[in-house]
Amino acid sequence: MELNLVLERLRQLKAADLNALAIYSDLQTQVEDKEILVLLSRLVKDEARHLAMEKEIFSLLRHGAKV
Amino acid sequence: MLGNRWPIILPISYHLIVAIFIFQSALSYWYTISVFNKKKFVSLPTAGHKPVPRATFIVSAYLPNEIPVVEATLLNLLRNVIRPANGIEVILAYNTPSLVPIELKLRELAYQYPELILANAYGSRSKSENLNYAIDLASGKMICLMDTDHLVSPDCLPLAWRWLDEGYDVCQGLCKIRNTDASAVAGLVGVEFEVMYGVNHPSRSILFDTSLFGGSNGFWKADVIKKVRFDKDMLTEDIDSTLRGILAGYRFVHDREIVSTELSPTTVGSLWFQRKRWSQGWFQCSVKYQWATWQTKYLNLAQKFLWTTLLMWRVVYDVVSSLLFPVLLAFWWRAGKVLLPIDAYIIFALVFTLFSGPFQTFVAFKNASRPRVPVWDYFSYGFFVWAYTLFKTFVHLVAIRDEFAGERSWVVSKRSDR
Repeated sequence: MELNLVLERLRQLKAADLNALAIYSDLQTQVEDKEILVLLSRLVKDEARHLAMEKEIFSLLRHGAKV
Repeated sequence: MLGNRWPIILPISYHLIVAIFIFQSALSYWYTISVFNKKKFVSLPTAGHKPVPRATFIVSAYLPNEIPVVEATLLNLLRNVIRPANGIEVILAYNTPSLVPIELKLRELAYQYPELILANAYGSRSKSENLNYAIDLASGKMICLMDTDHLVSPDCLPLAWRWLDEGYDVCQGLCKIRNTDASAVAGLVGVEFEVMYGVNHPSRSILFDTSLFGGSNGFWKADVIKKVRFDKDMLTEDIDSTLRGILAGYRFVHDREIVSTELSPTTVGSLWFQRKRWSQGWFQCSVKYQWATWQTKYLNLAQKFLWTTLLMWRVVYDVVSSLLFPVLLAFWWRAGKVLLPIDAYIIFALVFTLFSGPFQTFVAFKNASRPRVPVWDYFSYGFFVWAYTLFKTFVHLVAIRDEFAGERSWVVSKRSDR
């Protein structure tokens, strides 16, 4: 797969993950049920982890990793 | 002059107000004539001759209202714009109160076009917040801001880059109306835009080497826009960002070869709300930045003069020019009948002022790039421009009043695809 295409797809996903993180974080302030809050908290952490991993992939690609 | 039967205050006020009209018209003639200075682009020695870098297009949308036009705008960018070697990305920064069907369609489009990034600026309630959100995502070295209804020409990137490569920081292109046949209002605005973007903006850029970002079809160096950003509390975030940019030492230029077409309001009501927001925003900026533009070291005397005419003078003109009517009423009341107090000075002012609008309209017609607004629209505009100017002056006064009253509602324009 071409490097540019990989980068473009990653940028699309980064925006989607940022959006998901924002929505889950907002929902945490609006929901009161404890079980749902626990799940939302895990989702927030998941999204944050996605973003961190995407950032790591970007860094590897910039430093010359082949696709 | 007018005879000595009047209290002295009346003729003095009358002639002073008329002097303001003469000065404003003189500016109009000056700008109109100056547009014939065909400043062909010739690279200055400061030009780096670097290739066009990776560019980001940011399209800002409030989705429920702009659904009919957003897809066409995105497809124009994705399919038609000439790519630089390092490619482009198109970021649609949007906010929507709830998931709308178009979002699913946009996701399909994003799958088809990897360059398209959908950035739901969750929590955003303004265009400024959408833009700031997208700016943080942008990876391009040049960032191009487009409104949702803008169809920009395919060669916009190399045309804009040659200015940024030369040392400017922001390049504003020309905006034309493409739905002039939708209504009489749209036809009127179509010619007005030819005057604004085809005559006034380029001539000021040529004469004073300064310009402004008009909200869309603007090309920024990425590092500059990431510093300047947009203020959500200002009604005209484009003018506000322009002035903050200028006061930080950044340079703006206008290039009328970079053409983008947009949709005009089609009813008097929608035009009223649009122009009131513009006027109120300009008034906000006048109050906030006029003093700073006089103080800054980044503008020379001529540029300070220009920005004074755009900021404080604009407010003074609107308020003082409208006093003509009460002064005339005072003459009538004093004389006991309706009359037009005239002398040679007033006759000169009348001819000079009334002719400035049609002259500018004629030059706009001669100077217009294709596609041109129908000739009949130019005739209508030239004939009725005096009435349109009165309308706009009234809008400005209401806007000033609203600003003092703290009323800053933003009525979102409903977009149709024609």
